[in-house]
Amino acid sequence: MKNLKKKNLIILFLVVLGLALLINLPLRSTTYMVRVFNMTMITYLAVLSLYVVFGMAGQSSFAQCGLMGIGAYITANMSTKWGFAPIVGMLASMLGTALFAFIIGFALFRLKRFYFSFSTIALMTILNGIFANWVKGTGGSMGMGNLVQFSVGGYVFNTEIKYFYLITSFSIVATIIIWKLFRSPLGRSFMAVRDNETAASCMGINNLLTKNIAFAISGLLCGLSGSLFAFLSGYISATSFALPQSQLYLVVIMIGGSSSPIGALIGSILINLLPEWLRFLKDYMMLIYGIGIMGLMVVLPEGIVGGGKDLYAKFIKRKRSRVDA
Amino acid sequence: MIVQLIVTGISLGVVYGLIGMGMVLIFRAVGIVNFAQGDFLMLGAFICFALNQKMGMPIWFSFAITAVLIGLSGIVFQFVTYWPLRNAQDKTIIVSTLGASIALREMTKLIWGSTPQTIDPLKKGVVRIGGAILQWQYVLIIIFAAILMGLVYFLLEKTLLGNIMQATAQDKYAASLMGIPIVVAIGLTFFISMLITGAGGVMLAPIFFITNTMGVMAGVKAFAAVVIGGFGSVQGAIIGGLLIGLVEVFAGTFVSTTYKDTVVFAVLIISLLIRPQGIFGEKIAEKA
Amino acid sequence: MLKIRNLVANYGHIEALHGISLDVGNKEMVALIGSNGAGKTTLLNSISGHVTKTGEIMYNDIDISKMKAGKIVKQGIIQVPEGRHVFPGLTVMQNLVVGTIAWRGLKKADYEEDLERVTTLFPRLKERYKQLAWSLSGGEQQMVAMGRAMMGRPKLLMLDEPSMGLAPKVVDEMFDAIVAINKGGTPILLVEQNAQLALEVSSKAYIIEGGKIKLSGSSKELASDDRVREAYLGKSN
Repeated sequence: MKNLKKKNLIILFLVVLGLALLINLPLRSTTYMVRVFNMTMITYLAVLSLYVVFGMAGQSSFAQCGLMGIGAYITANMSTKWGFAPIVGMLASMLGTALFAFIIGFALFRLKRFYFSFSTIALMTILNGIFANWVKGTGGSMGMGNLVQFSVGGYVFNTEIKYFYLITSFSIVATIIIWKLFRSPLGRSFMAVRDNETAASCMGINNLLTKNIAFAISGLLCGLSGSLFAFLSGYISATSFALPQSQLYLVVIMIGGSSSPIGALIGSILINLLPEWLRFLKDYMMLIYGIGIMGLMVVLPEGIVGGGKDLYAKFIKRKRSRVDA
Repeated sequence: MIVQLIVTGISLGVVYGLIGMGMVLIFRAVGIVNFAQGDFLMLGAFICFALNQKMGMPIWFSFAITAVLIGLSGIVFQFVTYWPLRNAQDKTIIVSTLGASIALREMTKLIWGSTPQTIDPLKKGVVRIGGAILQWQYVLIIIFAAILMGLVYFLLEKTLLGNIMQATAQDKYAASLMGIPIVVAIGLTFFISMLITGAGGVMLAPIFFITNTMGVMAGVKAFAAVVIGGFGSVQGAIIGGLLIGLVEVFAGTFVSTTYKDTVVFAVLIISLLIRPQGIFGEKIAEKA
Repeated sequence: MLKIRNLVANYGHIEALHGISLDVGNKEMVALIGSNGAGKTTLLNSISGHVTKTGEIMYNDIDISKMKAGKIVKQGIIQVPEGRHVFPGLTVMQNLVVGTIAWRGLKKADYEEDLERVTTLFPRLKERYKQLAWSLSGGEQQMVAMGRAMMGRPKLLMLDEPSMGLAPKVVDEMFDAIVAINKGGTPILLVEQNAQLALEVSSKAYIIEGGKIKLSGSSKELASDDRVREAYLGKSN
């Protein structure tokens, strides 16, 4: 009992500390850095979507950036072109992308693991093609610019710092919801499908529907991510939503560790923050990631989170054996 | 006009077929999908560029040397990407090849810059065949790719070395019991796989610009070709490649140049939905 | 010619063989009998160099326990694995020719005589030269597997459960061939679950249980041994 109370106190302390840091952070950084933090969290939401569909449900999808794009363009069209309230645009992005993912999932998830991944590559390329060429809906290669800022009621988010608090709140809420999902029966059914589809269906799980729901949830997250991106940067174009980015997301979630949202966080930090902290290596960043993932897969196939868990387990083991001895 | 389109489509298609063949060889040998395959096409183009343009060697000579160098890079690739992970899960190895793809692209960008480059064509000018005026390059691509494919087929089916490669791919344990050195046999497979892919790069380079991302689309289309043809089947890769090449060219002309890739991948998705195992079906039995 | 002393073999952290000692003499047919999981295949894999081990494996006075698999094959030790493991996508002829690598590597050589020998043993293969191995019946695949091993000019042949999954008539044909091979001068280490057959054709036998040799002796003696009869021959007095 005492140990549990102690643990809870420690967690509470860390959370308060974390919140204090978060609130202070943007106030002590340059506008540029705040933008970087914002982009990190937008990326985090997209990589988190990969955690749901890949880490939890075991389906490697290369379409995440395409889904982000759908979210971004829905928001751009609804809020800027057609003048709907930003919150409506955001909701439309989330639901629209989720719906799209859900429907197309019925076609794609009929395919076995491997073939599903190919089909997501095909989907990504098709989406990118539409983004880059459908002038009416997406502005074609010119993209869409002068997008309205996010606003609620009369309150307009027109500074980086305001966006920081907005996006952070969304990220925290999203993480909590996904964490709850992980512990829920639905989340467990995702993992059952990931680990062994035959066994899962023997337990009464509808594999197709389950994978679809996972994909739809990831669509929800990508839609949010894309929508926030549209509001934040004021300009979107097809080059942001292409296959190389999707590949990168898969790579970084493997680096971070696909077994936990922390891995997604590490991944998005790698994409956005590391190039900033290691400015002098900026040109070599991608090369380092490429070589890094190759090496990492040999030493730490479970990613940084997995490696951390291993270390923790070894530490506990050593502690316990010392007690016994 | 139609003849020109068909020739262009076939010539593009055989290159996709070569890349696809490379992918299938590796898949049959070690059971993984190589996400970096297309980037070896790019590497071949760049190496040939360095030899032909930067060092001034004649194109055919550069071609030959490039082929050997690219094959050797395939062996290096095997030792760096596959061999250390040979007992790991498939998804781990695949992610490693993804990393290699990124690394290759960045490396060539750092070495040769992002300005699009070009190399000499195999033969300049045009040729008249049956009333149609065709660029020599396209015709030569078809001839040369066909020769390469024939050579690979001959190697695999009719020579002892090729049979050894096949045996290793089909059953490593049994091959080892016969005294076959597994790592050598696999290395050879990678050598040939990258050689034909790089050769494809050299052949396409004079037509398209050489950029560090030229392999990405080509690789993805080669995937599509292999899937449509039937994963694991070498004939499938070739037929699939031809199909994709023709679809791309005809879609580009009759639908729109901007949406031609979209059409190609829509065809892939449709093919996956109608017949996921491809034209020739999945070759599972041979993969043991 | 084959002397094994105190062989301990591991699969990862699991010890599968706990100190095996065994002899195969020139021209002998030695049977290794045991139930599933007793360690029979592990023993063969240890000899052919596919399992980490400690202990002594002397082959014609050469210690092969630390040798690599390829080199062991070059010494003339050829294993026909459990479950046949033919190369499914190659033709019968290609399977057989690949077997010749064991003695010639990649050098050009004449293997006509070897083919003759194999087709005398297994005449049915002659009609199937161009057929892909995956399409053959179980018995035919076993013939291909054994023929492939014979093409390698083995000086010691190790057979892992040649009767497995085969119809009784086919098993008889198979064992006729095995006896013929042994009579032709090739020593054989025969691993079998079918104890009765194994004891019939062999001169000496070892019973292995849980990674240890429980009994050994001449096959005739073991066949009339009550313990053996009850446990492996399904007979009781």
